[in-house]
Amino acid sequence: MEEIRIYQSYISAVVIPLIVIAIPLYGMFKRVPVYESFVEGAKEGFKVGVMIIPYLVAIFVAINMFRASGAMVAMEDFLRPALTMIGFPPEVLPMAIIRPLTGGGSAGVVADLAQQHGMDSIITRMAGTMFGSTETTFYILAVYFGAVNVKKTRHALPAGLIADVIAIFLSVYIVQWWFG
Amino acid sequence: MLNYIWAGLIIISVVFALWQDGEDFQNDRYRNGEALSVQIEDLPPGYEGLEDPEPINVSVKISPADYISFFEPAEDMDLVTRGIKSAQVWAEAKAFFAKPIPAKLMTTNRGRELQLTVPDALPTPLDVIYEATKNDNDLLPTYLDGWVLTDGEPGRATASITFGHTSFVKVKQVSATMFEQAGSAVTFSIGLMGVIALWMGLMKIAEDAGLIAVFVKLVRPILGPLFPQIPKDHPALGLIAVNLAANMLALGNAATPLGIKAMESLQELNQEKDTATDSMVMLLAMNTASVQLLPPVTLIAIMGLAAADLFLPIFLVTLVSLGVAITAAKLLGKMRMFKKTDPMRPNNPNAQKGGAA
Repeated sequence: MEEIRIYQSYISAVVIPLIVIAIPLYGMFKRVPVYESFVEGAKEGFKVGVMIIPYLVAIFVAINMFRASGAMVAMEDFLRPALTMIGFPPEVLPMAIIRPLTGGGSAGVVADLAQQHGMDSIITRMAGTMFGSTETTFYILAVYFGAVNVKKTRHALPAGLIADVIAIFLSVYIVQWWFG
Repeated sequence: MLNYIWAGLIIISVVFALWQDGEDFQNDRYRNGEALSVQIEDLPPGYEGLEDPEPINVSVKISPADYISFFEPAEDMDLVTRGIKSAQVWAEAKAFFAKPIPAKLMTTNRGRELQLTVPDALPTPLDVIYEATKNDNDLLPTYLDGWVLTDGEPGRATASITFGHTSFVKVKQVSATMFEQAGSAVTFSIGLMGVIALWMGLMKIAEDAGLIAVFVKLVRPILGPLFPQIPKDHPALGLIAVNLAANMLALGNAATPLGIKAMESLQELNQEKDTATDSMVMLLAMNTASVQLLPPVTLIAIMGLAAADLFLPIFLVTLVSLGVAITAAKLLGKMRMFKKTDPMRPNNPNAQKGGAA
């Protein structure tokens, strides 16, 4: 186990630099105008950055008002015994609730937890893993079925939500086990 | 649903804050207008307590016992409801008031003021009063009610002070937070933009270089058994493979249009156009729980290099949740309530012309 962890720390250290050199290399090999492609993609990035601002404002304001009023602590204290029994830190509960509903909003929750608890805290890691491993199920459902005018979605929502719930719990347990 | 959660958070915050402030008000938690007796020491020699032209430096001693009985509610209700926590707070107060507090004695337009310097964490509830009433120099203003020079001990006086008026602490905090966080959300997103642009630029190169096609080869073979309703040579399978491959690489912007194309292609096979087929449900389930080889851009933008630690946990979680999504889609599809609405069921009376037989 310890060996795997060391191995993983090596992977973590090199994975981003590796992607950063591998992609342009592969692009050049495929005769893609890498610089132009990069700039084109980066332009999109700014649109994404601006697009998430309203979501972040909505979530930052609502969650921090909730925290400042003391209601967050009261809720966490109230739920702590039940959540501790299943090994679920109450701090990541907002993430679990918001994740299937809004992508931008749940990004806001991760950012908020990173500010409150630090980037390397187990709480931020759990929320980050939840963010990375589940999707905005309601949004995908609306977009994909909306595009083809399907109104009766049958078991699509239950199937998606079951997978979300499993992923949310697994994120907590795997991060706990992995970073111990 | 999200509407209720969001509005609920805001409404609960304000109501909860008002309720707490109401309780503080009822218990007179901050002892507004009441006088606490203190000792002033280190007055300059010959000081007679007339108007002070210049602020003078003194030190103030507050007896822990006085402080405790000052803030402790008469009926001891606070001690009972707050239990051990409260006992701990009073212990902190004892430790805090063991030393004299440096202060400035001056005359302001509010009368004689004794401004206390605040070295570090104050005991409750003085910390709340401090946050609510501190002045521009981060001193805690208190107002002299009356005072008497101690006979025979030059430089000493006994005084009674009142603290600044403190009320609606939580509500004020909640509204301040509202404005502060709205601003910080914008600063935060602007900080993210650079990394998002960098990552999306790289991913665009990957997309243009046909990296998705490489992953299509990996995904393709497993799709046949998962989508039994799609004929072998139908283009829908290829589109689904491309959509899932883009998802694995977290190319969300590329994946969504591809997914919609795949959906349109599945719709061609559908006999009842307003109802989802098993294949559509499977595609959706696989999209919401796709295996992630790379985490999404936003996560990398928020967490920076710290996101690198999460590549493996995310991969593991999604591997399992994809399995769960597939199983759930298959099993739920076998349930009677969903099976009888299957648009592809034999002899479907609602079948429309144009659907594949």
